[in-house]
Amino acid sequence: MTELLPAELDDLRDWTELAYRLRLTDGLPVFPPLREVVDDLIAGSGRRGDDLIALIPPRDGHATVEAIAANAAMAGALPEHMPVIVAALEAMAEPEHNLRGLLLTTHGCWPLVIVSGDEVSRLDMATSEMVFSGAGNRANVAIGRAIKLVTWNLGDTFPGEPVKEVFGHPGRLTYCIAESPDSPWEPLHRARGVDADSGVTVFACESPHSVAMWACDDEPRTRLAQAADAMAIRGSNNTHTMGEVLVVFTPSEARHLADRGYGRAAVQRGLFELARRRIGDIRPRGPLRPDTAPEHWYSWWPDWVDQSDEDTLVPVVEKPEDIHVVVAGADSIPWIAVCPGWGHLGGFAVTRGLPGRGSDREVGA
Amino acid sequence: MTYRLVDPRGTTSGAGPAQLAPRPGAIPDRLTVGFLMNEVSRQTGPDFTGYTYVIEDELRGRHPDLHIVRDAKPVLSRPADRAMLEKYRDCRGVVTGLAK
Repeated sequence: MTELLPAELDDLRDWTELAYRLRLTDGLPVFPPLREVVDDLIAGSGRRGDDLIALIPPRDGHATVEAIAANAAMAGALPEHMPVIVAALEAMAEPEHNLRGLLLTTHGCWPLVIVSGDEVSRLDMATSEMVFSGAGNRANVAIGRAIKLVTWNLGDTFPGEPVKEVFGHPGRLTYCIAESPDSPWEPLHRARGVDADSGVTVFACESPHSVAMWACDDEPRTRLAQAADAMAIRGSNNTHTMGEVLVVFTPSEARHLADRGYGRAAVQRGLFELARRRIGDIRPRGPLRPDTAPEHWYSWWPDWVDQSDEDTLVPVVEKPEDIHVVVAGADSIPWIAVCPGWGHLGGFAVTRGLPGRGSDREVGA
Repeated sequence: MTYRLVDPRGTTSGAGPAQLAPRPGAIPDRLTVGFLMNEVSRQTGPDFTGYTYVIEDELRGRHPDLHIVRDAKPVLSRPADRAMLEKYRDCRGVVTGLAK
Protein backbone atom coordinates (compact mmCIF):
# COMPACT_ATOMS: atom_id res chain seq x y z
CA MET A 1 0.00 0.00 0.00
CA THR A 2 1.23 3.47 -0.80
CA GLU A 3 2.49 5.28 2.28
CA LEU A 4 0.54 8.46 2.77
CA LEU A 5 2.11 11.85 3.21
CA PRO A 6 1.41 13.10 6.72
CA ALA A 7 -0.80 16.15 6.76
CA GLU A 8 1.63 17.93 9.06
CA LEU A 9 5.33 17.96 9.75
CA ASP A 10 6.85 19.15 13.03
CA ASP A 11 10.42 19.45 11.86
CA LEU A 12 11.30 20.59 8.33
CA ARG A 13 14.58 18.71 8.59
CA ASP A 14 12.54 15.51 8.21
CA TRP A 15 11.21 16.55 4.80
CA THR A 16 14.09 15.47 2.59
CA GLU A 17 14.19 11.89 3.86
CA LEU A 18 10.41 11.72 3.77
CA ALA A 19 10.34 12.85 0.13
CA TYR A 20 12.83 10.18 -0.89
CA ARG A 21 11.16 7.43 1.16
CA LEU A 22 7.74 8.18 -0.33
CA ARG A 23 9.29 8.45 -3.81
CA LEU A 24 7.91 11.95 -4.26
CA THR A 25 10.99 12.93 -6.25
CA ASP A 26 12.83 11.50 -9.23
CA GLY A 27 16.13 11.91 -7.42
CA LEU A 28 16.69 15.63 -7.26
CA PRO A 29 15.97 17.37 -3.95
CA VAL A 30 12.55 19.04 -3.76
CA PHE A 31 11.00 21.72 -1.60
CA PRO A 32 8.22 20.73 0.84
CA PRO A 33 4.72 21.41 -0.56
CA LEU A 34 3.66 23.64 2.31
CA ARG A 35 -0.06 24.46 2.43
CA GLU A 36 0.52 28.22 2.48
CA VAL A 37 2.88 28.06 -0.51
CA VAL A 38 0.46 25.83 -2.42
CA ASP A 39 -2.39 28.24 -1.72
CA ASP A 40 -0.33 31.13 -3.08
CA LEU A 41 0.41 29.12 -6.22
CA ILE A 42 -3.26 28.28 -6.69
CA ALA A 43 -4.05 31.99 -6.42
CA GLY A 44 -1.33 32.73 -8.96
CA SER A 45 -2.95 30.36 -11.45
CA GLY A 46 -6.15 32.37 -11.52
CA ARG A 47 -8.04 29.08 -11.34
CA ARG A 48 -9.94 27.15 -8.68
CA GLY A 49 -7.95 24.59 -6.75
CA ASP A 50 -10.33 21.79 -7.72
CA ASP A 51 -10.29 22.59 -11.44
CA LEU A 52 -9.24 19.36 -13.16
CA ILE A 53 -6.65 20.23 -15.80
CA ALA A 54 -5.59 16.81 -17.00
CA LEU A 55 -5.47 13.12 -16.23
CA ILE A 56 -1.85 12.08 -16.08
CA PRO A 57 -1.18 8.62 -17.53
CA PRO A 58 -0.60 5.84 -16.87
CA ARG A 59 -2.14 6.11 -13.38
CA ASP A 60 -4.55 8.75 -14.64
CA GLY A 61 -3.93 10.78 -11.52
CA HIS A 62 -6.14 13.85 -11.31
CA ALA A 63 -4.06 16.92 -12.09
CA THR A 64 -6.23 19.44 -10.31
CA VAL A 65 -4.84 22.92 -9.94
CA GLU A 66 -4.15 22.11 -6.29
CA ALA A 67 -2.19 18.96 -7.13
CA ILE A 68 -0.29 20.84 -9.84
CA ALA A 69 0.45 23.60 -7.33
CA ALA A 70 1.80 21.07 -4.84
CA ASN A 71 4.25 19.79 -7.45
CA ALA A 72 5.07 23.34 -8.52
CA ALA A 73 5.85 24.16 -4.89
CA MET A 74 8.26 21.21 -4.80
CA ALA A 75 9.84 22.55 -8.00
CA GLY A 76 10.39 25.99 -6.48
CA ALA A 77 7.93 27.72 -8.78
CA LEU A 78 6.49 31.16 -8.08
CA PRO A 79 2.79 32.09 -8.35
CA GLU A 80 3.43 33.99 -11.60
CA HIS A 81 4.78 30.77 -13.17
CA MET A 82 1.50 28.92 -12.65
CA PRO A 83 -0.40 30.14 -15.75
CA VAL A 84 2.43 28.82 -17.92
CA ILE A 85 2.56 25.48 -16.07
CA VAL A 86 -1.21 25.01 -16.27
CA ALA A 87 -1.35 26.01 -19.95
CA ALA A 88 1.47 23.58 -20.75
CA LEU A 89 -0.35 20.73 -19.01
CA GLU A 90 -3.58 21.57 -20.79
CA ALA A 91 -1.71 21.42 -24.07
CA MET A 92 -0.08 18.12 -23.14
CA ALA A 93 -3.52 16.64 -22.44
CA GLU A 94 -4.71 17.25 -26.01
CA PRO A 95 -5.16 14.01 -27.98
CA GLU A 96 -2.62 14.89 -30.68
CA HIS A 97 0.09 15.08 -28.04
CA ASN A 98 -0.67 11.44 -27.10
CA LEU A 99 0.60 11.85 -23.56
CA ARG A 100 -0.12 8.25 -22.60
CA GLY A 101 2.05 6.83 -25.34
CA LEU A 102 4.64 9.53 -24.90
CA LEU A 103 5.15 8.89 -21.19
CA LEU A 104 5.49 5.14 -21.68
CA THR A 105 7.37 4.79 -24.94
CA THR A 106 10.81 3.25 -25.38
CA HIS A 107 11.82 6.32 -27.39
CA GLY A 108 13.86 9.10 -25.77
CA CYS A 109 11.59 12.10 -26.20
CA TRP A 110 10.05 14.43 -23.65
CA PRO A 111 7.63 17.38 -23.84
CA LEU A 112 9.64 20.54 -24.37
CA VAL A 113 7.84 23.64 -23.08
CA ILE A 114 8.48 26.68 -25.28
CA VAL A 115 7.36 30.06 -23.91
CA SER A 116 7.05 32.87 -26.46
CA GLY A 117 5.94 36.49 -26.53
CA ASP A 118 5.70 39.08 -23.80
CA GLU A 119 5.61 36.53 -21.00
CA VAL A 120 9.28 35.75 -21.62
CA SER A 121 10.39 39.17 -20.39
CA ARG A 122 7.57 39.40 -17.84
CA LEU A 123 8.90 36.27 -16.12
CA ASP A 124 12.51 37.31 -16.77
CA MET A 125 13.14 34.00 -18.53
CA ALA A 126 16.50 33.06 -19.98
CA THR A 127 16.71 32.78 -23.76
CA SER A 128 20.42 32.74 -24.50
CA GLU A 129 23.44 30.83 -23.18
CA MET A 130 22.61 27.32 -21.90
CA VAL A 131 18.94 27.83 -22.72
CA PHE A 132 18.31 24.09 -23.10
CA SER A 133 19.63 23.37 -19.62
CA GLY A 134 17.79 26.05 -17.71
CA ALA A 135 20.49 28.70 -17.92
CA GLY A 136 20.48 29.08 -14.15
CA ASN A 137 17.12 30.78 -14.44
CA ARG A 138 14.43 30.09 -11.85
CA ALA A 139 11.46 30.40 -14.20
CA ASN A 140 12.94 28.17 -16.93
CA VAL A 141 13.96 25.46 -14.48
CA ALA A 142 10.94 25.60 -12.17
CA ILE A 143 8.38 25.47 -14.99
CA GLY A 144 10.02 22.46 -16.61
CA ARG A 145 10.60 20.87 -13.23
CA ALA A 146 6.96 21.28 -12.20
CA ILE A 147 5.84 19.54 -15.41
CA LYS A 148 8.18 16.67 -14.65
CA LEU A 149 7.04 16.29 -11.05
CA VAL A 150 3.38 16.34 -12.09
CA THR A 151 4.00 13.40 -14.43
CA TRP A 152 6.05 11.65 -11.75
CA ASN A 153 3.69 12.04 -8.82
CA LEU A 154 0.33 11.96 -10.59
CA GLY A 155 1.21 9.56 -13.39
CA ASP A 156 3.62 7.23 -11.55
CA THR A 157 6.01 7.48 -14.50
CA PHE A 158 8.70 5.44 -12.84
CA PRO A 159 11.55 3.76 -14.74
CA GLY A 160 11.11 0.11 -15.63
CA GLU A 161 7.57 -0.24 -14.39
CA PRO A 162 5.76 1.22 -16.17
CA VAL A 163 8.07 3.45 -18.25
CA LYS A 164 10.09 1.54 -20.85
CA GLU A 165 12.19 4.42 -22.18
CA VAL A 166 15.44 2.72 -23.13
CA PHE A 167 18.00 5.46 -22.51
CA GLY A 168 16.03 8.25 -20.88
CA HIS A 169 16.40 11.92 -21.70
CA PRO A 170 18.23 14.65 -19.74
CA GLY A 171 15.18 16.84 -20.30
CA ARG A 172 13.13 14.53 -18.12
CA LEU A 173 14.56 16.49 -15.20
CA THR A 174 13.43 19.82 -16.64
CA TYR A 175 12.83 20.81 -20.28
CA CYS A 176 11.69 24.38 -20.83
CA ILE A 177 13.06 27.10 -23.08
CA ALA A 178 11.95 30.61 -23.92
CA GLU A 179 12.03 32.15 -27.36
CA SER A 180 14.41 35.04 -27.85
CA PRO A 181 12.90 38.54 -28.01
CA ASP A 182 15.66 39.27 -30.54
CA SER A 183 14.09 37.02 -33.15
CA PRO A 184 13.60 38.68 -36.53
CA TRP A 185 10.42 36.64 -36.95
CA GLU A 186 7.07 36.77 -35.19
CA PRO A 187 6.77 34.78 -31.94
CA LEU A 188 6.22 31.05 -32.28
CA HIS A 189 2.66 31.07 -30.95
CA ARG A 190 1.59 33.73 -33.46
CA ALA A 191 3.21 31.82 -36.29
CA ARG A 192 1.07 28.87 -35.19
CA GLY A 193 -2.10 30.90 -35.34
CA VAL A 194 -2.63 31.94 -31.72
CA ASP A 195 -3.56 35.62 -31.53
CA ALA A 196 -2.23 36.48 -28.08
CA ASP A 197 0.59 38.48 -26.57
CA SER A 198 2.12 35.31 -25.16
CA GLY A 199 1.88 31.61 -25.74
CA VAL A 200 3.04 28.23 -24.58
CA THR A 201 3.88 25.43 -27.01
CA VAL A 202 4.62 21.86 -25.99
CA PHE A 203 6.41 19.52 -28.39
CA ALA A 204 7.84 16.14 -27.50
CA CYS A 205 11.35 15.84 -28.83
CA GLU A 206 14.79 14.42 -28.31
CA SER A 207 17.67 16.35 -26.83
CA PRO A 208 19.12 19.04 -29.10
CA HIS A 209 21.54 17.84 -31.77
CA SER A 210 24.17 20.51 -32.31
CA VAL A 211 24.73 21.80 -35.85
CA ALA A 212 27.70 24.10 -36.32
CA MET A 213 28.21 26.05 -39.52
CA TRP A 214 31.36 24.19 -40.55
CA ALA A 215 32.31 24.77 -44.17
CA CYS A 216 29.22 26.89 -44.86
CA ASP A 217 29.24 30.01 -47.00
CA ASP A 218 26.69 32.81 -46.57
CA GLU A 219 24.18 31.22 -48.93
CA PRO A 220 20.98 30.39 -46.99
CA ARG A 221 20.41 27.10 -48.81
CA THR A 222 23.87 25.92 -47.85
CA ARG A 223 23.22 26.73 -44.21
CA LEU A 224 19.78 25.16 -44.18
CA ALA A 225 21.29 22.05 -45.77
CA GLN A 226 23.61 21.82 -42.76
CA ALA A 227 20.58 21.52 -40.47
CA ALA A 228 18.70 19.32 -42.93
CA ASP A 229 21.49 16.77 -42.79
CA ALA A 230 21.00 16.45 -39.01
CA MET A 231 17.23 16.20 -39.47
CA ALA A 232 17.49 13.24 -41.83
CA ILE A 233 19.82 10.86 -40.02
CA ARG A 234 19.20 7.22 -40.88
CA GLY A 235 18.04 5.97 -37.48
CA SER A 236 15.65 8.81 -36.74
CA ASN A 237 11.93 8.18 -36.23
CA ASN A 238 11.31 11.18 -38.46
CA THR A 239 13.30 9.70 -41.32
CA HIS A 240 11.22 6.53 -41.23
CA THR A 241 7.82 7.76 -40.05
CA MET A 242 7.78 11.56 -40.57
CA GLY A 243 5.95 13.38 -37.74
CA GLU A 244 7.35 16.73 -36.60
CA VAL A 245 10.78 18.27 -35.94
CA LEU A 246 12.00 21.29 -33.98
CA VAL A 247 14.83 23.41 -35.39
CA VAL A 248 16.25 26.14 -33.17
CA PHE A 249 18.28 29.00 -34.67
CA THR A 250 20.47 31.33 -32.68
CA PRO A 251 19.42 35.00 -33.07
CA SER A 252 22.48 35.74 -35.19
CA GLU A 253 21.75 32.87 -37.58
CA ALA A 254 18.08 33.83 -37.76
CA ARG A 255 19.05 37.42 -38.62
CA HIS A 256 21.50 36.11 -41.24
CA LEU A 257 18.64 34.28 -42.93
CA ALA A 258 16.11 37.09 -42.44
CA ASP A 259 18.53 39.63 -43.94
CA ARG A 260 18.58 37.48 -47.06
CA GLY A 261 14.82 37.39 -47.40
CA TYR A 262 14.04 34.26 -45.44
CA GLY A 263 10.97 34.48 -43.24
CA ARG A 264 9.97 31.61 -40.99
CA ALA A 265 7.82 30.04 -43.70
CA ALA A 266 10.67 30.19 -46.22
CA VAL A 267 12.96 28.50 -43.72
CA GLN A 268 10.36 25.77 -43.21
CA ARG A 269 10.00 25.28 -46.96
CA GLY A 270 13.75 25.19 -47.46
CA LEU A 271 14.24 22.59 -44.75
CA PHE A 272 11.32 20.57 -46.10
CA GLU A 273 12.94 20.45 -49.52
CA LEU A 274 16.40 19.63 -48.19
CA ALA A 275 15.79 17.23 -45.27
CA ARG A 276 15.19 14.06 -47.28
CA ARG A 277 16.63 10.60 -47.61
CA ARG A 278 16.72 8.27 -50.59
CA ILE A 279 14.64 5.17 -49.90
CA GLY A 280 17.43 2.93 -51.12
CA ASP A 281 19.77 4.41 -48.50
CA ILE A 282 17.55 3.80 -45.48
CA ARG A 283 16.69 0.15 -45.98
CA PRO A 284 19.77 -1.86 -45.06
CA ARG A 285 18.20 -5.18 -44.00
CA GLY A 286 15.63 -6.66 -41.65
CA PRO A 287 11.86 -6.81 -41.56
CA LEU A 288 11.26 -3.16 -40.60
CA ARG A 289 12.49 -1.28 -43.62
CA PRO A 290 11.08 0.59 -46.55
CA ASP A 291 11.39 -1.42 -49.71
CA THR A 292 10.29 -1.25 -53.33
CA ALA A 293 8.34 -4.49 -52.83
CA PRO A 294 4.76 -3.44 -51.95
CA GLU A 295 4.55 -5.83 -49.01
CA HIS A 296 7.34 -3.83 -47.33
CA TRP A 297 5.98 -0.35 -48.04
CA TYR A 298 5.54 1.86 -45.04
CA SER A 299 1.76 2.14 -44.61
CA TRP A 300 2.12 5.42 -42.71
CA TRP A 301 3.85 7.34 -45.50
CA PRO A 302 1.48 9.45 -47.62
CA ASP A 303 0.41 8.18 -51.03
CA TRP A 304 2.49 10.78 -52.86
CA VAL A 305 5.69 9.06 -51.74
CA ASP A 306 6.62 6.73 -54.60
CA GLN A 307 7.81 3.71 -52.67
CA SER A 308 8.27 1.66 -55.81
CA ASP A 309 11.41 3.63 -56.69
CA GLU A 310 14.44 3.33 -54.44
CA ASP A 311 15.69 6.69 -55.72
CA THR A 312 12.69 8.50 -54.28
CA LEU A 313 13.76 11.21 -51.86
CA VAL A 314 11.47 11.05 -48.82
CA PRO A 315 11.08 14.14 -46.61
CA VAL A 316 11.30 13.79 -42.83
CA VAL A 317 7.91 15.47 -42.37
CA GLU A 318 4.72 15.48 -44.37
CA LYS A 319 4.52 19.25 -44.83
CA PRO A 320 6.72 22.31 -44.14
CA GLU A 321 4.55 23.44 -41.20
CA ASP A 322 5.56 20.29 -39.34
CA ILE A 323 9.02 21.80 -38.95
CA HIS A 324 8.83 24.06 -35.91
CA VAL A 325 11.24 26.97 -36.17
CA VAL A 326 12.25 28.74 -32.94
CA VAL A 327 14.88 31.37 -32.16
CA ALA A 328 16.86 30.88 -28.95
CA GLY A 329 20.40 30.42 -27.70
CA ALA A 330 23.32 32.77 -27.30
CA ASP A 331 23.36 35.77 -29.57
CA SER A 332 26.97 35.19 -30.50
CA ILE A 333 28.20 32.87 -33.22
CA PRO A 334 25.65 31.37 -35.61
CA TRP A 335 24.48 27.92 -34.60
CA ILE A 336 21.52 25.60 -35.09
CA ALA A 337 20.04 22.87 -32.91
CA VAL A 338 17.83 20.08 -34.26
CA CYS A 339 15.43 18.25 -31.94
CA PRO A 340 13.90 15.24 -33.69
CA GLY A 341 10.39 14.29 -32.65
CA TRP A 342 8.82 10.98 -31.79
CA GLY A 343 7.87 10.44 -35.41
CA HIS A 344 4.30 9.85 -36.55
CA LEU A 345 3.38 8.34 -33.20
CA GLY A 346 2.48 11.57 -31.43
CA GLY A 347 3.99 14.17 -29.18
CA PHE A 348 2.85 16.69 -31.78
CA ALA A 349 3.10 20.38 -31.00
CA VAL A 350 0.16 22.03 -29.27
CA THR A 351 0.07 25.77 -28.57
CA ARG A 352 -2.04 27.65 -26.06
CA GLY A 353 -2.35 31.37 -25.57
CA LEU A 354 -1.85 32.45 -22.00
CA PRO A 355 -5.16 33.35 -20.33
CA GLY A 356 -5.68 37.01 -19.62
CA ARG A 357 -2.98 37.90 -22.09
CA GLY A 358 -5.04 37.99 -25.27
CA SER A 359 -6.89 35.09 -26.85
CA ASP A 360 -6.50 31.64 -25.30
CA ARG A 361 -7.32 29.85 -28.53
CA GLU A 362 -5.71 26.48 -28.86
CA VAL A 363 -3.83 25.25 -31.88
CA GLY A 364 -2.92 21.63 -32.40
CA ALA A 365 -0.74 19.84 -34.86
CA MET B 1 5.91 24.96 14.90
CA THR B 2 3.83 22.66 12.73
CA TYR B 3 4.04 22.71 8.97
CA ARG B 4 1.02 21.65 6.92
CA LEU B 5 1.74 19.67 3.75
CA VAL B 6 -0.18 19.00 0.53
CA ASP B 7 0.38 15.58 -1.04
CA PRO B 8 1.64 16.03 -4.63
CA ARG B 9 0.08 12.68 -5.56
CA GLY B 10 -3.37 14.17 -5.24
CA THR B 11 -4.31 12.39 -2.01
CA THR B 12 -4.28 13.49 1.61
CA SER B 13 -3.77 11.48 4.76
CA GLY B 14 -7.17 12.65 5.94
CA ALA B 15 -8.82 10.84 3.06
CA GLY B 16 -7.60 7.45 4.24
CA PRO B 17 -5.96 4.80 2.12
CA ALA B 18 -7.07 4.48 -1.47
CA GLN B 19 -9.47 1.60 -1.88
CA LEU B 20 -8.85 -0.90 -4.62
CA ALA B 21 -11.78 -1.71 -6.83
CA PRO B 22 -13.81 -4.66 -5.50
CA ARG B 23 -12.56 -8.00 -6.79
CA PRO B 24 -14.97 -9.94 -8.95
CA GLY B 25 -16.70 -12.88 -7.35
CA ALA B 26 -17.04 -16.25 -8.98
CA ILE B 27 -16.42 -16.18 -12.72
CA PRO B 28 -19.61 -17.12 -14.59
CA ASP B 29 -19.73 -20.07 -16.99
CA ARG B 30 -20.26 -17.77 -19.94
CA LEU B 31 -17.01 -15.81 -20.15
CA THR B 32 -15.84 -13.20 -22.65
CA VAL B 33 -12.19 -12.21 -22.58
CA GLY B 34 -10.46 -9.67 -24.82
CA PHE B 35 -6.94 -9.49 -26.17
CA LEU B 36 -5.71 -6.22 -27.61
CA MET B 37 -2.42 -6.42 -29.46
CA ASN B 38 -0.13 -3.59 -30.41
CA GLU B 39 0.43 -3.19 -34.14
CA VAL B 40 1.10 -6.84 -35.03
CA SER B 41 3.12 -6.15 -38.17
CA ARG B 42 5.74 -4.27 -36.15
CA GLN B 43 6.21 -6.68 -33.26
CA THR B 44 9.90 -7.04 -32.61
CA GLY B 45 9.86 -8.48 -29.10
CA PRO B 46 8.27 -11.62 -27.67
CA ASP B 47 5.28 -12.81 -29.63
CA PHE B 48 2.38 -11.42 -27.64
CA THR B 49 -0.13 -12.62 -30.21
CA GLY B 50 1.07 -16.18 -29.72
CA TYR B 51 0.94 -15.69 -25.98
CA THR B 52 -2.73 -14.76 -26.17
CA TYR B 53 -3.47 -18.15 -27.78
CA VAL B 54 -1.70 -19.86 -24.87
CA ILE B 55 -3.90 -17.94 -22.42
CA GLU B 56 -6.97 -18.79 -24.49
CA ASP B 57 -6.17 -22.51 -24.33
CA GLU B 58 -5.75 -22.30 -20.56
CA LEU B 59 -9.04 -20.48 -20.11
CA ARG B 60 -10.92 -22.76 -22.47
CA GLY B 61 -9.91 -25.75 -20.37
CA ARG B 62 -11.64 -24.13 -17.38
CA HIS B 63 -14.48 -22.36 -19.17
CA PRO B 64 -15.83 -24.30 -22.14
CA ASP B 65 -18.28 -21.50 -22.94
CA LEU B 66 -15.50 -19.04 -23.63
CA HIS B 67 -15.81 -16.20 -26.10
CA ILE B 68 -12.72 -14.33 -27.24
CA VAL B 69 -12.40 -10.82 -28.69
CA ARG B 70 -9.04 -10.31 -30.34
CA ASP B 71 -7.80 -7.29 -32.30
CA ALA B 72 -4.68 -5.24 -32.98
CA LYS B 73 -4.24 -1.49 -32.91
CA PRO B 74 -3.27 0.09 -36.25
CA VAL B 75 -0.41 2.03 -34.65
CA LEU B 76 1.39 0.68 -31.62
CA SER B 77 1.77 3.85 -29.58
CA ARG B 78 -1.61 5.40 -30.20
CA PRO B 79 -4.54 4.59 -27.94
CA ALA B 80 -7.23 2.31 -29.32
CA ASP B 81 -10.01 4.38 -30.84
CA ARG B 82 -13.57 4.39 -29.56
CA ALA B 83 -14.90 1.99 -32.20
CA MET B 84 -12.25 -0.57 -31.32
CA LEU B 85 -12.90 -0.23 -27.59
CA GLU B 86 -16.61 -0.76 -28.20
CA LYS B 87 -15.87 -4.32 -29.35
CA TYR B 88 -14.54 -5.05 -25.87
CA ARG B 89 -17.53 -3.64 -24.00
CA ASP B 90 -18.88 -7.03 -22.84
CA CYS B 91 -15.51 -8.49 -21.84
CA ARG B 92 -14.97 -9.66 -18.30
CA GLY B 93 -11.35 -8.63 -18.69
CA VAL B 94 -9.02 -7.39 -21.41
CA VAL B 95 -5.35 -8.33 -21.71
CA THR B 96 -3.11 -5.89 -23.55
CA GLY B 97 0.50 -6.12 -24.60
CA LEU B 98 2.63 -3.30 -23.27
CA ALA B 99 5.89 -3.82 -25.11
CA LYS B 100 6.49 -3.85 -28.84
